Amino acid sequence: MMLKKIIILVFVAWFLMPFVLITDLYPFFRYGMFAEPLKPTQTTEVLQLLWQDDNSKMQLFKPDNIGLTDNHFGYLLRHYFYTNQIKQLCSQIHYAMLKKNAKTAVYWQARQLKISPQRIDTLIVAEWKPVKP
Amino acid sequence: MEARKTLNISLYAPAVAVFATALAYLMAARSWITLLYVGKASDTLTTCVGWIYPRFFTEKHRFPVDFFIQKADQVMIRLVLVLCIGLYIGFRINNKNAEKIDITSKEKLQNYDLTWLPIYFTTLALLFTWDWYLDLQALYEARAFYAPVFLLRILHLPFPSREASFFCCMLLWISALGVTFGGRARAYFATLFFVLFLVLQGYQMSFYKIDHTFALFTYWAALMPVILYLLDKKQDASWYIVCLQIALCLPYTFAGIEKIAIAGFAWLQPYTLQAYLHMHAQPWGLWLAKSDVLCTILSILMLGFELFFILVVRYHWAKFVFLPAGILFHISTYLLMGAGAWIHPWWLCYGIFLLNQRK
Repeated sequence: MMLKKIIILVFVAWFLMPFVLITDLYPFFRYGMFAEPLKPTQTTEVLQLLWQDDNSKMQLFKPDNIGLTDNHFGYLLRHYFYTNQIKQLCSQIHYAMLKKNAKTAVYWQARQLKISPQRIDTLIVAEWKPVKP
Repeated sequence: MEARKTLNISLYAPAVAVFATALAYLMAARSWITLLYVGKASDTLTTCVGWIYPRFFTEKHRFPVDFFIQKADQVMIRLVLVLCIGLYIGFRINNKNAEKIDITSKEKLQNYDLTWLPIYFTTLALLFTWDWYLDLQALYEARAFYAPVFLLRILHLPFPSREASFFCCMLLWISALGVTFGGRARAYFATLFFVLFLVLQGYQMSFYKIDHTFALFTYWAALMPVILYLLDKKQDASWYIVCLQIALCLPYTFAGIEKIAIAGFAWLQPYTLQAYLHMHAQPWGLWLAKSDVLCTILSILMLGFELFFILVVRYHWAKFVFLPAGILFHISTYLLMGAGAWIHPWWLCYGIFLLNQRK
């Protein structure tokens, strides 16, 4: 009977704690996916990180260069964007790639795309150049 | 009589504590949110919020302060609501004969046929974790961005080295196999599996993205050691199977409740789904977003599905309705919003609802 009570308490806490606090506290999952009401809009926001190596044109940065999936990288980019730390992100990626002797860039650029059925608005939100030693 | 008095006091104490917290919130703490927002809060408060709401410092650049005050209000409302429901249940148990409320004596559960349960568990465990070693190796490259989730922060666990990941993954797979082939030690294998599963899954979520993909299987892994222990002792595990079935339903129920708690009845209007479809910009989703009627029908069906999925625990007929609906729900979420996958780990766990009861 004691074991049953413990299990009931653990599971009640497991579900109720994130529900009350309105946050995920892993391993206490909150099931608030798609719960936020969105304003009727047809605009999609996309964040992109681009890089340019010597004498080449700008290209999209591929997150697998630093071991991340597109999905992971999307959240990482969002976090750094909304905390105004995109330049730190560029520098961290740059030095992480240098560390493993991978080819890296001479210029980094972050863009915010606002996509609607009629048009795409592009805004450059940050730029960063590595300092040459 | 003495025991009842103790229980009454143990019920009153948290009640008073929580109502006092709610009062303190209204009197003073509500204004702290504004201070926190403008960066003038005390270090202690900033640290606490950093622990519980690490995303606050990201989101405050996106939303006005009213958004966060509204959230804090909602936390207090939920706290008081949960407390009131808890107290009501507590007082009922206290005032009536406790045995009457005990679900084990009320449900009259029969023994379940659990012979294939360990094989089912091992199969899913290996299917879900076979690529974790590769994932952890890849994430090792990105360890500069490691932001440990709550559990790993408490345990002060750094990101594992390549060797440690290999060792842990090997142990994880051995323990998964041990659940089926471990003989009398299978409950211990299940315990080891649960611990490793929790920690290794946590590492993969420590890059700013909490993922619910394996949430249902996590609950199953948590209960599996107890179920196997009882089976090995030749004791009845049916209460724990029902408990597991409820745990597998609650994520859907809470997803439905959250939608109503956060958005009110916005999900009964077509524009909420339409906005999400535009946000995820999948071809089928964009096509569907053109129709108000289809979006309204789908939104209502989805909300109904989430809120009433729990009926599968109680009613046999509900399994024929809600389990296929669940598979359709996950496939359509993938098709319309690109979230999840064709074969989703949540519906792969539905077999738990199909355990045959012995006559």
